[in-house]
Amino acid sequence: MVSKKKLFRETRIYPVIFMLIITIIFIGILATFYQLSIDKVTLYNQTQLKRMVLRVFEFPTENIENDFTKYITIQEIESLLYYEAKVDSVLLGFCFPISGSGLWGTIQALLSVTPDFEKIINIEIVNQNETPGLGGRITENWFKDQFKGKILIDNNIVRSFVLIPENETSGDIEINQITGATASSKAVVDMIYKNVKKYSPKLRAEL
Amino acid sequence: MKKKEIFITSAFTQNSVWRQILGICSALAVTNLMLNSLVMGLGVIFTLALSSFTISIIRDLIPKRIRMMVQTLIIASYVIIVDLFLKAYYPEISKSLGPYVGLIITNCIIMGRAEAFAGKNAPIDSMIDGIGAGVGYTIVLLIIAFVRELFGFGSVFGIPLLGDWWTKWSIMVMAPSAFFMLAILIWIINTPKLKRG
Amino acid sequence: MNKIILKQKMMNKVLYALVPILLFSIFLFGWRILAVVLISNIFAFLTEYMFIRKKKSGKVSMAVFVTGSLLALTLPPAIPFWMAAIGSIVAIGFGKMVFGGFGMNVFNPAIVGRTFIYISFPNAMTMQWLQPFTKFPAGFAVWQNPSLITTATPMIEFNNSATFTKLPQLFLGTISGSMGETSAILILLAGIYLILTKTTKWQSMLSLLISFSLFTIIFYGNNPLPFLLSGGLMFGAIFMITDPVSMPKQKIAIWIYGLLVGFLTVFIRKFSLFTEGFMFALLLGNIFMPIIEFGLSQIKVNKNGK
Repeated sequence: MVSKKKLFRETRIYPVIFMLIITIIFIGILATFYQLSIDKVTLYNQTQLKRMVLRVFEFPTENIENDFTKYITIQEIESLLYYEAKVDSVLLGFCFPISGSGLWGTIQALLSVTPDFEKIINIEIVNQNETPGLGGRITENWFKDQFKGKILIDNNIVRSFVLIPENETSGDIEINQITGATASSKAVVDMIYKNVKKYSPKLRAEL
Repeated sequence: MKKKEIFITSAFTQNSVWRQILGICSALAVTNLMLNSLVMGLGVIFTLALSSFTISIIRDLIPKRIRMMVQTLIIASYVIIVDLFLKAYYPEISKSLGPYVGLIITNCIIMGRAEAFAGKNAPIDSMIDGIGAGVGYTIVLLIIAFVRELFGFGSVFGIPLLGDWWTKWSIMVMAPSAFFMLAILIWIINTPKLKRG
Repeated sequence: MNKIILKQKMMNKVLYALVPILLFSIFLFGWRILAVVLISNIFAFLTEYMFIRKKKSGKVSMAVFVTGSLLALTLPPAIPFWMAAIGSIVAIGFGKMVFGGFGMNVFNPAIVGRTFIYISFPNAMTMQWLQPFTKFPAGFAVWQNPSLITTATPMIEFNNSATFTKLPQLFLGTISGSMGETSAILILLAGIYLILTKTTKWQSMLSLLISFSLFTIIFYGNNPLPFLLSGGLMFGAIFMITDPVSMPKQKIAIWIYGLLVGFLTVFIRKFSLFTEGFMFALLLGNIFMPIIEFGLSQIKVNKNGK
């Protein structure tokens, strides 16, 4: 018996069979784990996105699932995904993903605008790799809040915001930059300008 | 060897990072925050313990020629489990660790322990060896992360220790500083040994 | 003093060349400049001494003071003293001693130190500049020029609004900027002195300047002159790229090295969000230097073989 087994282990087919069996076992284990956790993972990712969209339209985020289905509809135009917010069938505005290059990597954000595309409602940073504590401060509320209500398109011309030092009072087209992170502040401003310029004709034509 | 000896050998005297200079890629990547380092360390301990244990159980069955493939398969499975677990239950930490949990697969320490120890020793011993190596790795991570978080953010485990007067060192938050810290750590630990000859 | 300091004539000449630049910088920004230079040098010396004290016949090389002074002169005039000290320690410790001391370093130590603090403290390194004095006795009468401005070296101004300061000003150097980089004419004179005394190789300076001008024309489509005169390029071309240790030895390799650094400087200035590109360009050039030299020697061997 022993010698027979040894012989089998020396055959060429043995490693193949062994690998096959062990692969099946481990894939089985993994599949089980995957099934157990996948719902939670996708749920989390969706909620995260929904929370962002709600926040960018300044809805409360306590009741994400309900509010999202109630107010937001997802639209698509020429493979650009954007969101539409309606309260009691009155159009509140649009929100679309924008991105641009920052100091160390790509910055991704959601920008919401009024239906006539003239004013910014809000901006949310979704993803960024800026220097923590400096450029990373673009996610701070005081910085993002500056964009609220700013006029974006004036007489069909897309406005480009001007950066001024952090502690000065800002006017209509001015944004206070983050001290020590001019590049990251500029990246956000440029990103808004470029994306709006690119998407606004398409979206406005659609309306 | 006694169990305690196995543990101490693999955790300290033959520490994977500062004695064997293994697994430094992830040591460089995730050490900007203490919390991230701790989670990463726990993930590695878990993977090391179970993969060493599993490989040791089937060590006599594994054909010599394809043993690397088998080891990688087993290690990868445990790593994916850790990754899924974090994604499902601690999504925030999973996000900040980024791809590095998945990259535990390529952490040379695990393969190293499988090759050097688990392939020749009994399952329980292998498991202890794995835990030891993981603990040694985690200690290194925590030491580097302590310095980096303190200098870079002025805090430890997210608790601010240094006040507003502290000028934050941005470089400490970024990956390059880990090279400096790791080099200094290895230097400090190995200098007395080198002097003795 | 002779017991601990290894004399190097070449290095002395570089130091002499730096004196007028230092004086002019004091004229522009005040006596504090001198303090920064001294602190940087003291810490550079101490760092090398700590590494070398236990070695037999261990002497601190004169080059330490060149590194210390060069590093200090690339810093903004309002830099806190402790940051200059850290820069100095990193420059000598990590830029030079860990590679084995004088003659062994792969990178230009002063640039290593500067990069370290540039990335660590972007606020102090890129945001706080001093308005220069222009009338005598200017900085010689005060400790520090009080007019702190938050942005606007000529380089930063160009990056923001694409307009340049007037050429004569750039040439004379009555502009804001890092301590030693402002005056193009003094730097050029220093360069001529260094070439005439055969302290440095002119090939590296020239190749860098040519390649920088060429690629500026290609990438910006502009007259390269203001680009040459503003920022740290001129200072780098005369004092940094000419570092005899981190520079290649063969003539052809030096030309390639200069061209590469010039190209990278323009490339980084143009396509990244960093204002100044020379620092990173030189470090990258240093990295590629050994492989360039190796490649050239291989070509030579092949030719001889045939």
